[in-house]
Amino acid sequence: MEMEEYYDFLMSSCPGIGNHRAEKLYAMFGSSKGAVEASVTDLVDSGILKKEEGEIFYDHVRSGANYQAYCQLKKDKIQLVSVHQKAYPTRLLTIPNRPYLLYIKGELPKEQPYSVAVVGARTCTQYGETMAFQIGRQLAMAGVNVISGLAKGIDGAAHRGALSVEGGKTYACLAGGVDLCFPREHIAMYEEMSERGGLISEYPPGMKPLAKHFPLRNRIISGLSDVVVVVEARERSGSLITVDAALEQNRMVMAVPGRMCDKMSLGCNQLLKLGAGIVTRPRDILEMLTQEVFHEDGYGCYRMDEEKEEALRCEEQSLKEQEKVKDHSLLHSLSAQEQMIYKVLDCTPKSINQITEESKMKIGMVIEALVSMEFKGFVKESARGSFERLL
Amino acid sequence: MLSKVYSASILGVEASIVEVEVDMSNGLPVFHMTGYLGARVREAEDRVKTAVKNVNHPIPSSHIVINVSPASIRKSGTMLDLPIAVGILADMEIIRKSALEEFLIVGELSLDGKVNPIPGVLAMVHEAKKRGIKKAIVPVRNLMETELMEDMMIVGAGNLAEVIDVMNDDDALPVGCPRSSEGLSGNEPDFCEVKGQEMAKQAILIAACGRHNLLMSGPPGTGKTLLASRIPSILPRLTNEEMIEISKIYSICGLLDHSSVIRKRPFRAPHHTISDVAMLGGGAFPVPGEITLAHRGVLFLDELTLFRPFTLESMRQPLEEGEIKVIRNGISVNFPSDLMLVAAMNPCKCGYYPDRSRCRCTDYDIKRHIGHLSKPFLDRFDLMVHVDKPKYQELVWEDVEEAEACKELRILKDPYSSKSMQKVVERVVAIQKERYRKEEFSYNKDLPAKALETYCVLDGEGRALLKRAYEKYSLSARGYNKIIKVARTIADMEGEEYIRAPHVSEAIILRNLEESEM
Ligand SMILES: [Zn+2]
Repeated sequence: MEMEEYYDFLMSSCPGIGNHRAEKLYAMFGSSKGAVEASVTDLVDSGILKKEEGEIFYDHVRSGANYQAYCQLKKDKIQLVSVHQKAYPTRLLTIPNRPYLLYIKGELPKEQPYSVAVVGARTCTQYGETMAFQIGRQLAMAGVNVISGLAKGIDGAAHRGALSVEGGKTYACLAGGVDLCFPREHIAMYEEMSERGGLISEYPPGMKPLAKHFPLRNRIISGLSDVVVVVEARERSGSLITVDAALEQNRMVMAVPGRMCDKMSLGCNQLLKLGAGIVTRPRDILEMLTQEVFHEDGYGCYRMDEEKEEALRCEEQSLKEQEKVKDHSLLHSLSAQEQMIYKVLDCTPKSINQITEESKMKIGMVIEALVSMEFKGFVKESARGSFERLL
Repeated sequence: MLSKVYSASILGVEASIVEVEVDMSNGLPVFHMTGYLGARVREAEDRVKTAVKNVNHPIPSSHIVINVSPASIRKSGTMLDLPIAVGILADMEIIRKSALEEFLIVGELSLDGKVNPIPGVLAMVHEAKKRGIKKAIVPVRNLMETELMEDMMIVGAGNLAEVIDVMNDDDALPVGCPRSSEGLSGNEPDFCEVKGQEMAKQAILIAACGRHNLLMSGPPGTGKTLLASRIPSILPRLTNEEMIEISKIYSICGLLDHSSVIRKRPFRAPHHTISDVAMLGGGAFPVPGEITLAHRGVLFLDELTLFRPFTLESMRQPLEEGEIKVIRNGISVNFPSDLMLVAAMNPCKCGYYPDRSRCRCTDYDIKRHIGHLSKPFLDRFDLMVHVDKPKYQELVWEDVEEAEACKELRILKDPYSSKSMQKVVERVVAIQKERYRKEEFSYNKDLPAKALETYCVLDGEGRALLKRAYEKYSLSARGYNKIIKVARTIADMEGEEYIRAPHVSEAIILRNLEESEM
């Protein structure tokens, strides 16, 4: 078995082979061992590889560097799961161009009960970040695996939400080797996820996350999930590639609505128009899962246990309370001027000029109120000279 | 026979008085010039001989020696043509010798005897006045630039014949010079012509009051240049002495257009492809650069990120010291560079950050964009303001008639008209002068760290707010001090002795980029 894994590694790490042909070779020679030990003539005669490709393959599998790479990989506790193994995710088995071999740091998501992908813009608003965090958090509370891409913005917020729950699990599909953390700022999250979830990639360790890898990686994100939830996507956003993959793989797509004129959510709103499920609260996703997602062991049979149900209810309640407290404290802790400015503010950034114009107050007063509210935690300076309201 | 004529020569932005000695004697016909002269001075021989001949006084064949002293100063240019001609004519007893010592004489001659304009006349006349010379003959086309020189009889000469007349008879030419229209043309750009942009105008006002250097950040086409070009209109009005000082520089650079003096504070906006010499001054015979042309005015650097880091680095010291020392070929010259620095930049590569509906730059892209700037140069700015896209496309009032009709009214009522702003600036500058009368500096911008405690006293709330800002934005010590200095200026604008929370708030909003943000 050990050896078979090594042969899988040799086969899939050969440049230019690809998932489809790796599987064909496996089928032709009966095992990856068979393919690795085949002569160039046999490889070419099989009709799967051309002459030069056969030579490259032949040389590659015999190169000594591979063994060192394999040892390093074992030392780094990176697991390998090939499409022929039982551990290979069943959800991935049916997707077009399924990965031949997966590299995993941490673990693979449990098959039961559900996995949900949360994707969206890298540059997002405070609104999007809060939504993604809450969705990640509440899904994790319900025992659902949260899957995303470790990117900045929405991805990161969703992972963070899941990690904020005790025992919450979250998984990231990477566009490079699982030994590389990209973006670097997420190193702490990356470390935590290798303990409480996993990092998954079809690329061998050491591979840089190249631009062309990202669209391919998206098919694994959706492939591992039952539902893909989009939070803040612009008109031609990369998240929509994940949506295309999800539709091709027959996955449910849901979207968090934005306001009509909000460019940051234009992609989401269009998805909703085309029939995507609407997320007005994280629970909508759970309901969609239990009603629509079919499992081998029955239709909608999954029920959350009492404990999780209770935890979720508490969370929803406490959010409502917080909202109320904020409303309440608004009236008391803010001065009349601050309240006026707060009303003008929005969850998309506005410049000081705009705020001054809309509030019809003196600029000095506007600035004083903004700074004071920022320290109180009611508003946020999202960029120099632009403020938005915190939810 | 020997005659002596006073003339002048330029070095840097100052003139020195020189004596032109002309000796004519019998002997071999030679024309000999000595006294550390540049090539263009030596060319005087042909022009002078021909010009003198063409005003009907042929020079007898004789031995002519000319010495220009002091020999320690290098003389360059064509301004010695006229004094040499006058010296020869005096030797020929066509001009009375007794008149020579009363006059400063400068000018270039053309072959027909016409007196051509030269650069630097104002500096020469100014220097002559200091030396106690009461009368001057200058090219008539340079006469306007001397209009601010009081207690001097300055004659503008059109040709050599007129010079002879004036020197032989004081009443030959009308004395004094025509006054120009005093530069009161009402078409100076005014802040009331710029709609909206209140935050930027407020930042500009604060900067002008405390003489803080200002950085503007914002998308292209938001009127950063429009705003910057109006800053000179709100700085304190120039005194006569300052006008002379600036005009001297422009006169030497030949930028006066031989007309009037400079009565407005200069606004210079060099392009980012500018060479170091053009920016700082220099050359074989040192000439002032942009930072000197902006002396007592505004130097505006648009697209700051595109300037070469080396150019910006070399500007640091002159900006700090208010002058630049240029050394070329053993000649050392000091050019003044006391100016207000205003720069503009795009906040990111595409320019639209933080408008996320248009800007897709990643945080990394944005940091890299700002990272192009030289950090020590960035440190010269005390405040930064974000100029955002105006709501409507027009930046300036569209309907010209309407604009004209209510301009008067607006100038009076608009707190951000140039006139209103200038009043504030003059008041705040006076407050600072009074407060710092015993110090070596006179603006809040120059407050050294050790003097902050003395001059910037915060009330309880202000101090608490500043402390929280220090923690929240993890400010550097320099960033912290800058906020205090700017808050000092804002408090001065409101005529308050103690710095209070609202002043600190404004200074926080306008804080400069921190190194941690780069
Ligand atoms: Zn951008």
